[in-house]
Amino acid sequence: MTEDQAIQLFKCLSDKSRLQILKNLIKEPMYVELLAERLELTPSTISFHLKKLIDVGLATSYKEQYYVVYSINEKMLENTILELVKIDSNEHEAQTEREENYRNKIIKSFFVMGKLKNIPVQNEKRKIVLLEIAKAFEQGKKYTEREINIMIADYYDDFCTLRKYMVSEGIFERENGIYTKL
Amino acid sequence: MKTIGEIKQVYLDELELRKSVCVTKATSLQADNKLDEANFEKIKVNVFDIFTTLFNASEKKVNASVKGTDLEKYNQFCIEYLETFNKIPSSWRIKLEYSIKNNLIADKVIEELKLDVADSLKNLFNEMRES
Repeated sequence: MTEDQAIQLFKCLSDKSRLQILKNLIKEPMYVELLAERLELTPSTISFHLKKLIDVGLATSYKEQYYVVYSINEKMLENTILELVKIDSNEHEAQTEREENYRNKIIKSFFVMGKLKNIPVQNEKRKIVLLEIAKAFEQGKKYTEREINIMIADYYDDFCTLRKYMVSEGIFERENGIYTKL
Repeated sequence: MKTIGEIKQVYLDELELRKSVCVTKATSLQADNKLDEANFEKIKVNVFDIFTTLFNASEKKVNASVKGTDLEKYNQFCIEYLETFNKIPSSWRIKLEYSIKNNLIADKVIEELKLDVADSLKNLFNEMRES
C-alpha cells in the first residue's frame, strides 16, 4: 500500500455511515437493500458508500444468484494504524531538502566573507552556525585549547564563548585540556 | 393560478421551504460525521437555487418580450419555465448515462439526485399551474 492509498483509507473511514456499513458487514455479508433498510438510507446512497469501501479495499463483492453480496476484506482490516502510518513516503526527502535549505539560509545570513557576524541567540540557529565552523576540524583528532582558539578566531573574535558553546553542544569533548571533535 | 405573481409567491415559497429543509439536514449530517450525505443535501440546495434563478429569469424575459394581457404573459411564462426543465437537466441525463455505462457509482448517485429534484420541482410547478 502506498501513502496516498493509506490517506484514502483514512478518509473513507472518517464517515459515520461507512463505519455503520462496515459494522454490519463484519457481522455477516449483505446485499444493498438489506443494508439500506437497516441504516435507513436509500439503496443508491448505500451503493455510493460501498463503492468507496471497495475502492480502498475495505469491502469486496460477489454474485449470489440474483444478488450482489458485499462483505468485508478482513486482510485489509487487519492492518494496524501503526503499520499504515509507517508506510514509506517521499515526504522524508522533501523534509531533508527543506532542512538543508533552512541551514543554508542561516549560514548565509550569519556569515559574511567566511566570518561570523554574531552568535545567534536561538539554540537551533546557533547549532547550525557551530556545526558550520566545526567543519574546519577533523573528526576524532585531538586539539590543544590554543589550537582550537586560533582556528575559531579565524571565524569570530570571541573564540572563548564559541569554544564553550561547542563543548556544551557536544561538538567537542574536552578532557585534560585536550579537545576532540566528536 | 392565472398570473405570474400568484404562482411566483406560492411556488418560490415552497422552493425556499424545501431548500431550508435540505440546509438543516446538511448541517445535522455534517455534525454527525456523515459528510458525503451532507454533500448530497448541498447538491439539492444548488438545484433549488438553479430553478429559482431560472424562474426569475423566465419572468423577466416574458415581461420584456410579451406585450399582452396578464393571462397571455402567464401562459408564455409557463412555457418558458417548463422548457428549462428539459434544457438544464439534459446535460445531467447525459452524465447519468455515461456514469451508468462506465460504472461510476458516485457520479450516478449525484446525477440521479439532481434529476430527482428537478423532476419534483417540475411536478410541483405543474400541480400549482393546474390548481
